[in-house]
Amino acid sequence: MASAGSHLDERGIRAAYSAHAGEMFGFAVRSLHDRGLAEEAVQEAFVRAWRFGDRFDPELGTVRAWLFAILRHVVIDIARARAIWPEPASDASIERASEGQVTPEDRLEQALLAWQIEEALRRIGEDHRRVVVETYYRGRPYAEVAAELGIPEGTVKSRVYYALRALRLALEEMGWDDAPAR
Amino acid sequence: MTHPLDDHVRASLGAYVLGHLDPAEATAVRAHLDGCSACRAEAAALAPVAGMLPLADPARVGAPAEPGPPSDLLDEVLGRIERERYESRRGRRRSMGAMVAGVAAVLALVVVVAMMATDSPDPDVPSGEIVAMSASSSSVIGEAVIHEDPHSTWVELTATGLAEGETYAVWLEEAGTGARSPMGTFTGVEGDLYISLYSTLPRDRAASVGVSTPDGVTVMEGAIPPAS
Repeated sequence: MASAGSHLDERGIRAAYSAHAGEMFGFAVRSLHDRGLAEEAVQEAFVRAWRFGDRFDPELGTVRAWLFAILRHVVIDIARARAIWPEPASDASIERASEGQVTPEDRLEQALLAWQIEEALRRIGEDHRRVVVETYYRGRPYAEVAAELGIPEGTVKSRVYYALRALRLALEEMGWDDAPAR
Repeated sequence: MTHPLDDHVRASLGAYVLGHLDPAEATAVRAHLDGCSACRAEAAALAPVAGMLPLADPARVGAPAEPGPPSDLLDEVLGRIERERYESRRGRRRSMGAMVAGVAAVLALVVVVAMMATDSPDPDVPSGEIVAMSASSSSVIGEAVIHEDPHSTWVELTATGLAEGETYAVWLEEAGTGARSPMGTFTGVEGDLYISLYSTLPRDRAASVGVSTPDGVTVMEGAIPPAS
């Protein structure tokens, strides 16, 4: 980022805003289902980031990870105050969620994970995304996908492998850490 | 390090963690993983990613991204930061204003410049050195913050428990001579008291800061550490 040193001052906030506000807003809308509340959340997150700017330590993580950690707290605060909770991410997660007791915090955590994986899927290359969508989400046989794409079946398989690696990298870039609270 | 089998198995690890391999292939991969820590670590890194896929709605991935935040949101953020900065400065000015009312008299060579701090071009309050004050009475608690200015010493004093209406004098004691350089007097108030005073005694010659009654009885005093 543009600001030098470890202090996230006003200039640092401007730079961080232009780099990450769009994504942060996307996550906030996804979690709160309301653009107005999402604006409020993003605004509050940046003000807190400025207020506690001297606590930001670039050696401990990226600005983005730090901003997302703050935003998560803000979203939880807003959701609590308004007693609104994110809808489950998808049918599959409803099934899984119904297996146990689900707290509102769990649902928010799931919304964050859902948003992160969707964002990661958007970021990886089209070839990689395509094999994941076809084999995983559409449940199509590898041979069929291979024929359609005009590539060997083994290539579909290795593409799935590289797609998962790319997803992992994209997730890490978003500050995802490897210990999902589930 | 990598041998051909590793490459072959690696390429299958994605399908493996997604549960896409047929039973025979999956058994073969599992057998390899048992003996290969590198591939095992790779599978362990991919498994949580596979575990997150069910959360995503693939339709949403293909859908146009949510339009970004309104263009004036950054201005609102910066506006709030500016306001917050202003409020913290104004809060400071108010407590200093209250202090001025409490100061009963100003001695010669002593300047009480309460407003000076807020007029400094730097919006951030300069940080000083905190000096804990020991008091003669257990009901009195005080603390001083010593700031070094080029030709003077600026002391911010906070105290509670001083007698209401009583006149107190603030002084700096000069190192070596023990001479007390008066900074000014103030009248005790109920509750918290905040005082800001300047002395022409340079910071590096001040050994301690104290408060006493007009007849010279010290009510609290704190040693100023030697200037670094």
